[in-house]
Amino acid sequence: MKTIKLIMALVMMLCFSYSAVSLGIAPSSVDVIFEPNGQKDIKLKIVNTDNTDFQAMIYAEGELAKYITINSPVVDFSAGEKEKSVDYHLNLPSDLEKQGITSTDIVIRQIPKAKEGAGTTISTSVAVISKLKVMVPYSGKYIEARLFVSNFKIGKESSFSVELNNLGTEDITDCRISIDILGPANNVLASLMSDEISLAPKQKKLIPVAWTPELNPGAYTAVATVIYPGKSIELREWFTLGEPEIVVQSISVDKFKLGGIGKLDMLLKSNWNLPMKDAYADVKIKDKGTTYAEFKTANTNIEPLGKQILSAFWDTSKVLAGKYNLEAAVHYLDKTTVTTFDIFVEIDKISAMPSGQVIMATEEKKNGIEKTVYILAALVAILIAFNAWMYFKKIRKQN
Amino acid sequence: MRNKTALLVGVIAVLVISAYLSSGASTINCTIMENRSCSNTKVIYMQNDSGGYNNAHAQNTSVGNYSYALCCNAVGDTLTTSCDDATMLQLNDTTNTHAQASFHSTYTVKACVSANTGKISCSYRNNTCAATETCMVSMASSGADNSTNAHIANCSYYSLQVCCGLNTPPVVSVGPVIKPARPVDADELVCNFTITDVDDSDTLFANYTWYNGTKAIINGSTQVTNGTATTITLGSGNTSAGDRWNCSITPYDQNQYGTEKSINVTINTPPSKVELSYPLNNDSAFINRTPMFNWTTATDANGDSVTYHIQISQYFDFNTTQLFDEISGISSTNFTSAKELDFTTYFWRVQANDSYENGSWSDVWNFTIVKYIAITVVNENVSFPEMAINTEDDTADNNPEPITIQNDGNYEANISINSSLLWQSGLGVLNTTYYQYKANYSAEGSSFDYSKSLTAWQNMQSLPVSFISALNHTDSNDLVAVDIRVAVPADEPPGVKQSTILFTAEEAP
Repeated sequence: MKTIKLIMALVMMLCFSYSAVSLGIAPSSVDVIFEPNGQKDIKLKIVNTDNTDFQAMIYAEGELAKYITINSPVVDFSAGEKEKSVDYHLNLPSDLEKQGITSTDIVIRQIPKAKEGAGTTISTSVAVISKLKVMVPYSGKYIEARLFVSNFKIGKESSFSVELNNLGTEDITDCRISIDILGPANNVLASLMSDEISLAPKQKKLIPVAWTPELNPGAYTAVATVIYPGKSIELREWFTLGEPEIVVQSISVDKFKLGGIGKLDMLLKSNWNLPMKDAYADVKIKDKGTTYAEFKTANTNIEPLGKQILSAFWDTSKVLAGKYNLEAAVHYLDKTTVTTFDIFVEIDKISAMPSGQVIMATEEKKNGIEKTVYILAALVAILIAFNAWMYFKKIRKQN
Repeated sequence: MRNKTALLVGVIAVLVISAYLSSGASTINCTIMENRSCSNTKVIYMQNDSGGYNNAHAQNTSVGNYSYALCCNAVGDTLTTSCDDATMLQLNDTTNTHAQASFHSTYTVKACVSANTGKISCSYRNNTCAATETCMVSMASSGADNSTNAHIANCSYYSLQVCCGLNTPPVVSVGPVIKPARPVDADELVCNFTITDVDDSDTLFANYTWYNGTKAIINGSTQVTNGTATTITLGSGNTSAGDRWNCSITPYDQNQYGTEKSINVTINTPPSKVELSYPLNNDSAFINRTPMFNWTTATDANGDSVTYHIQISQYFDFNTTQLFDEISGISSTNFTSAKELDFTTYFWRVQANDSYENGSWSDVWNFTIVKYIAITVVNENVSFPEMAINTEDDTADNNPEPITIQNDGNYEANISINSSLLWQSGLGVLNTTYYQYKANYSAEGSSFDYSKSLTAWQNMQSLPVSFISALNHTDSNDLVAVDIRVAVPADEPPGVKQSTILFTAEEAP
């Protein structure tokens, strides 16, 4: 305690003459399973996030501080040094009475440079903490677990992974993991179950639980329950499948007269299982690549997986009947989807169809003999024509 | 104009070839006619004592003054009297002579017929020739089999007929083509071709040779059906990346070999093994949760463009159903996963693909992401203007600006605050309303847990007090404002006042 007071006093004194801005530490926590008289060297990475010259003090605070030796209590950084590694040594006692986690802070505190000020000036300094968590195994059966969610893709099998860590003193032989996939309304959409798992004390295992998503794009929650004799642990992770997308499915125009205002009703369709707020469109009418008219719609909200009409108004007072190109850029979230249509303006109507749509005639199938006959007939016709041409050319020359 | 003419000539050529191919077997046409009237190939001359051509003596073409000649032509071929193909008859002398069949050896003057392209063969049959043969002349003698010391006549005159047939060599009419056109090492090579022969009755064979470069490796012969596609297969065990294989086909109809045709392919060489660059292997304190995976460019011996396939997994065996992420068809040499990585160990590897096959997988690298706490005080000083006793000021009105703190780490942070003394007076000690703080939203909005943070004015303490809970780490929303309020105590002496606030960050539980 005396040591801490002395360090605090030193730091506070230094703080009066220096200023500071940024600092980073990794890992910000270190887990150690207690072993009587256990020894461990632990490495920390101090990051000079702002690329400045500074000094930093390192000290331990907390219940286990007396078991910790900092190898280099002060480190110097120059502006070009992005990061530095420092070590501390942990020398555990023969016994720790308290079961579970005992936490101790390793504090890295920047010693800032002096700054001059006038009036009432408040400057700042920063410190970061890396926590040392020493775990004394619980008597009996005890598991700690973490849930990992892969970057699932619709229709492709991948896995959830659950990390199990037996932090009890007994073997666990009949542990199972169930995973429910919940929709936005917390309705269960899929349920998965692992095989039976066994774990020895202090053993850590990563358990895959396979899943092939056959759901709409959107946001979901995975709820994993680790079940072992007499206990269960619930883990939750939010995740998304696919990407949100709004497309213009069609454009219709009702009660149109050329020269008036055309109301273009764009039918939007969302693929996302959550509401999409404040979607709007920038619409351009183009004629042979040149933008002819440009307008912006109002904002609209679309229900999950829903459709919504978004109207745009086009003044056709200077528009001639004919074919134009419409480009609708729909903006939503941080995305934009551009759909193009060919629009056909007539005296009393406007029709639109997605660009690139091709009307294809079905080729009539002819059997091989028929085809051969046609080919030969064509060749004979060409030959006759050639001979006739040669003949008339010769006659002309003679004349 | 020139193009049109070329087109028309091409069309005519196609028609002529079609007509030729569809006409069936080539035949020899022979007629005994007056010597002077024959405008085709005169194979032998003949004349009897009365000036006719039956029961006649023969004369070799080297003389050529008899009244009658055996006048021959062949459709699609040109006949000569060379002895390259067949000896039709053997003569005792060059003129006024008897004849014998070619299987005898007593007469030394030969009457031959040959074809430029095809091949003629002759035999001797009683009464009638085979369907593919043409009767040239008939012959008879006083001997038992009429085959030597014989007179000659037209075909209907004697029973022993001299029969000659014209054989046309088979051709490789389609191919050969090797599939796949761009094979890989694991592919078998299939050489596809069609042999056709206008002589319908011939038994056809394909003599094939597989060459690796210039060295013949495998050869053989296989019977084929006229006009029907045939395949010859080379097993994948014979090939290696970079080999240049050749399939050569020579058609054979037991009379003649047709023209050899061949085709080459090169076995694809896969792109080189990729070398990984970043994240570094075995980095046990990696802090970027959205790293840009980097690797070096693969080379391709065939000059093909290359794409890349990356797999990221928490499992070393890269079981395809347990991957964290996987994507192929990457045209650049980097990849960033759309999903933030978690605090665990990841294995990763990359392979190149040249659109024909994959290169070898890179070595497997791994890195471990650990929680990283880092804060930056964006505006590190707050300066209040000169203040009079019993006045107060704060940053809540942005004049002066509040302190802002940014979470530069990769996890939510809790932040505590404490400070040194600001005032010198007895009233203005710490933990009084003369010096206060509170957490507040910045321009980035709700970046921290407002309900669990101290968002009302708090007296500044000398010991750390946790006041910002779960400050978010994602770049778009990782900023918090800290408002400061100062009130000048009534007993504060004049002068410059300074204090240093310490912000301490730790990972949120």
